[in-house]
Amino acid sequence: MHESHIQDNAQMGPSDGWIPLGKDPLQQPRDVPVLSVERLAVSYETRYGDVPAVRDVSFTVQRGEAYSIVGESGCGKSTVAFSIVSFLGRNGKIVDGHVLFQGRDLVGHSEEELRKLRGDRISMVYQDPMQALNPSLRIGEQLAEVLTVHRGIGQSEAEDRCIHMLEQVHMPDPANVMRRYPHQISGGQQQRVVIAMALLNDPALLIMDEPTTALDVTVEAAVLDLVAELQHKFDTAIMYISHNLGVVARVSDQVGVMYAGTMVERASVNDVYLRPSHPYTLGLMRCVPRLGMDKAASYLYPIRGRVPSPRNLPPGCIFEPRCDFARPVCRQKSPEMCEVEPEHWARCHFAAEILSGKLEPPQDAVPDLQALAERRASDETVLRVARAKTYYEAPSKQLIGGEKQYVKAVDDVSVEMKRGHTLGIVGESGCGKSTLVKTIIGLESPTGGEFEFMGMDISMPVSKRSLDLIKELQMVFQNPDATLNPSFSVGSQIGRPLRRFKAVPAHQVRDEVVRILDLMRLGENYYNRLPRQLSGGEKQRVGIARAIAGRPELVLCDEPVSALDVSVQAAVLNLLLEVQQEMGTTMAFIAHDLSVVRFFCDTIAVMYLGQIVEFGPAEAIYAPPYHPYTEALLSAVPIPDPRAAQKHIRLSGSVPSALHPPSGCRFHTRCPRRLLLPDGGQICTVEPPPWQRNTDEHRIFCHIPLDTLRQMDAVVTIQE
Amino acid sequence: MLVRDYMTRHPMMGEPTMPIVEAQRYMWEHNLRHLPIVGDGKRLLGLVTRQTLLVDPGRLASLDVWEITSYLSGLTVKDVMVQAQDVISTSSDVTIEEAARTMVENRISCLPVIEAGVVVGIITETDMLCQLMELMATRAHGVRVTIQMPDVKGELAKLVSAISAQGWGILACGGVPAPKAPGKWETVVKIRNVSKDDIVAALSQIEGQEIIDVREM
Amino acid sequence: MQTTGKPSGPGRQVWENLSIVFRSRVATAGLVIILFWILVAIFAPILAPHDPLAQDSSAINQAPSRQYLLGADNLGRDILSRLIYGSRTILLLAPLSVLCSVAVGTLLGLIGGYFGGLIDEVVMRILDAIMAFPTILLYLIIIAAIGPSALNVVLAITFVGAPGVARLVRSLTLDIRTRDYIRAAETRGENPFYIMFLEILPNARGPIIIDSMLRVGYAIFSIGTLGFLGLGLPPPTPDWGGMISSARKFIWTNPLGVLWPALAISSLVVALNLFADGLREESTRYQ
Repeated sequence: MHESHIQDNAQMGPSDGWIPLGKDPLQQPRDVPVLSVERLAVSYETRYGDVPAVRDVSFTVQRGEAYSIVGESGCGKSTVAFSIVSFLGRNGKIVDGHVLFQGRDLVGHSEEELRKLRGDRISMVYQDPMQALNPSLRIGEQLAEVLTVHRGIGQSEAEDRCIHMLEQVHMPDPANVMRRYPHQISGGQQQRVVIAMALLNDPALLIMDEPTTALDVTVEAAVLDLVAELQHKFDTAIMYISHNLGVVARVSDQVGVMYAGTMVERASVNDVYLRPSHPYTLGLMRCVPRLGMDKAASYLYPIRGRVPSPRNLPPGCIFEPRCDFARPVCRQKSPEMCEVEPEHWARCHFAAEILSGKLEPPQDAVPDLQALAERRASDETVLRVARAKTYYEAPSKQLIGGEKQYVKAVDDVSVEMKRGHTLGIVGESGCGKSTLVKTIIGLESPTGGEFEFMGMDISMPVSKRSLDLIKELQMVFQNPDATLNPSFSVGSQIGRPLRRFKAVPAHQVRDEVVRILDLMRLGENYYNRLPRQLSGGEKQRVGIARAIAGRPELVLCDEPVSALDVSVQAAVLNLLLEVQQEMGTTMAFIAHDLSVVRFFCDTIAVMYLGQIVEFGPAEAIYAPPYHPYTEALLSAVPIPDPRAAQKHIRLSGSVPSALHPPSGCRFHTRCPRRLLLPDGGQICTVEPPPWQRNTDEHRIFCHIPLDTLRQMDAVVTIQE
Repeated sequence: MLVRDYMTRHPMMGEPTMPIVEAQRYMWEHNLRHLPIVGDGKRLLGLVTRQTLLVDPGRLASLDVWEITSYLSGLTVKDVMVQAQDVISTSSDVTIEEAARTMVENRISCLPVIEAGVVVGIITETDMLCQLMELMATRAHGVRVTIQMPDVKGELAKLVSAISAQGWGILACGGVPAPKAPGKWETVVKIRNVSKDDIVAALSQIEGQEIIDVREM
Repeated sequence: MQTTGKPSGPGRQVWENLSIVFRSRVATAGLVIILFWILVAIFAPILAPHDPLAQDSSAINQAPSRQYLLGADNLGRDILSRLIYGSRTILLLAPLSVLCSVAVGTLLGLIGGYFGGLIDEVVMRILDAIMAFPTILLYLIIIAAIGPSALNVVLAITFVGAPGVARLVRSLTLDIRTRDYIRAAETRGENPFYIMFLEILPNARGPIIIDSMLRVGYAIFSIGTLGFLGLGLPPPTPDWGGMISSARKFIWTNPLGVLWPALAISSLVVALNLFADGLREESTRYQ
């Protein structure tokens, strides 16, 4: 029987129709792309008729390559992924095009055929790891099932292999994790389990749909490291879907940019980021702040308008209504994908001109911050918080009695805010930054400490404050969908604080609202609209309008842009800047995106586990000396520039519980720099660190001597 | 130099229900010579090569034209593949020369790589030849010298020390028993950044060894 | 989304709400039956061929005839006319009693849900206690204590229905009060009652309206049941439940006497359920 597969090529030359091998056989003798999507079009059936969600998308993913699809929400990137695994739901269908997996078409087969065809060769990782994990089964059982069900591998051997795989994804204490239930491990660890589960199949293609979006930056960085490592170790092709330009720059080899259901540009990661040739890509690159940009020296260019609804696409080029370079031809003719230079494709009539720099995007002047500077000159302290403590009572586990336990959400925090300045507060989730802001505004009652606002004591909840005081402190919220009351029109919601604080006489309220709407670049026709008729960015602008309507002295912004798409984010940031410039408002700005904070804020407080660990002017925070925690955060932040090189510092473990914070320095359990101290930093476990002053304004909460910290290299460097 | 480093991971595979016509087209289009056939969980069920896809003319002789068509279109991979128990396979932990030996001894041109019953890759003659090329640093530029030396301990050391005395770098080095001269050993060395003449001058000094071939490539 | 071609402002909202009803066949069918009964109730004096109280001793328990289209009852009264007039009673009492129970329940639910803590505990435990009783038993106790009358039926249904509404509104409030716009109102120092009634309640109205529709159906049942048990409206007021009760004794001689009022009750209840279901389905679809 063996003779049947002997020397089968002996007498066959190219004339037999078999294509000869390439010139360099070492470059993959079988150079068939793992995935090749050709002119894919997907529609969803709705009661308004078929809605085209994806049109004319083509790309190929080579063996062992990381291909990223980047785009804003609703651009169809997840739909592309779902059509590859035929998971479009009941009302979705592929209407045109092909999806070739290892050269075999996945379109037009039955579910059963597809299952066989794909086998275990495509795996998918979702944004929410709990979607893939069964909460009622132990992790070990779920992992082992992958091996035992189809492969007939014995239980104990399967378990050994699972433990081995968990080690490969750098899971601490894998044998122990195998015995746990999914809810007993942290989000980052859950995502590792899901990745391990996907890899147990040894897939040729791994699709990851926003796998790190729900994670903190430090955890995200570790997961991204893992993805890159596994890609090489297992020779797996990775299709990575994300809206985050920083993440995409870090993980990908090739990038496809999607806009409104179609792909507008695809090229290598360097070309897309450094030499974009589609106006949309160019716009994206110009509207994200890069680490190191600040508001005094640079400007973010938002993309005007909004993404068209798939039901209502413009007739010509889909980007034409928002494009800075639009010409008459763009409105008439929809451009095809064309190859601007080898391996660099763009869907624009003028891609070549943009690439060669013949078409320059409009340059706006850097905003004039003069007025603000004058107002700041007074240097008056608006808010002073000293030794603030906010504890929550933790529910006792005993039925009766038991000692009361407290979650120390904010513990011994002191900050000062000067008039017209912006304070940025950064830290991982659960570090107490929101609680601090809520305590200042009076939504939480402080447990202790001094809170002084323009000479008045504000250490009481908002219900006990006078109207004059309430008027001066307002807040902007994170979630655009929850920030406005869905039952009332935009006008009445902005008008409410005007009426309540009697900021203007009753008959002038409408005029004042219209004036504020103009300031928000929304216009009078928004007056009667309901929130559901607005886009996310517009809702957020109305939320800002409502906060500033009563001309407060201090506006507290809780992640005002983190739920928005990047192009909208820039517009909202610019708006906040304008507001501040016009009204001289003092602002506190919570964010987890360090590039945004660097851009927007004058002073920055870095928080860890309820305490501030570093406080100082923005530029000082981003240069040595760093607090070790700041250093780790900076090395984890994804930077939307493929040239960026970052120091590789990853924190081990997860944030300890605020119920029992570690003794001494709270960061000592995860601190990568503790070993710089004599005897391995024993002092950190015992004594709380001192505040060390680098300059008058810059202070660091650490035992390590400033001189040692000063000697460290900058975390981020850009290689030209 | 283990199979795991040189095999093709995630090879293109088929399933037993695949019509033979489709298998043939698939292999044709993508220039495949071997197609592992797998079931659920990528367990190896068989192997299709171009040879197995050739239909025995004897079997067709008794059929008329219409019957041939329906006979051919009804054939699936399952009917013609080399069954799993007859397929010679290897594991990823085997050295590449051992895999080569298996292939030569069984006169076969590919080995599916199996781990715990699951196909994780495939290694073929081409992969082996690629490896030979790499072993001899074919793609790097240098001078390739073939030296015949007695099959005695210490001869290679003489050669290497002569080269290192000149401060040259060795790109590749390999030795086999001389094919035409019993008791002799032939060693091939590839050296970079030198001229042919320098090499001849330096290596012809070695006692008992003889340069039989020098070429720049 | 483009808004051209449709009325704007409040008119547009009404149009949108109506279009939801007509988009669902189920809701439309329910609405048609409900409208039918409402029209019947409004035009009762015109539609009814006889006086609902007039007795005709020659027609006792008579089968349908040309004179009495649906027959006559045990006192010789025209069943059709009594059904027509009966719709007036039931369509007045059922919505009224539901309105009362929704008003009371909403207030309690908002207070419990928004303030939380001790107030919530006290209010909800009392309501739980009420809900623990079988409804029929509660009706019997209340009516027996305060005597049967139209007003007391409303009171009884309010008392029995309010805890359910309060539970619903409380759970909606618990959800809505975590939204940022409530935080925004609090940072404006708004009065708690402003927040409850102007910020929370309007956003809870959808589920409350749908729940009320279903409750009207249950109220019709309850009024029928009370009438059947003799605890409803005092005779001789035409009352569907009472009609069934009195016709029941003659079910062998005049089975249709039971059928007609039973059909009337069930058609109205089914219609209300259809309407509520259709509404709920349409308003939650594609969101």
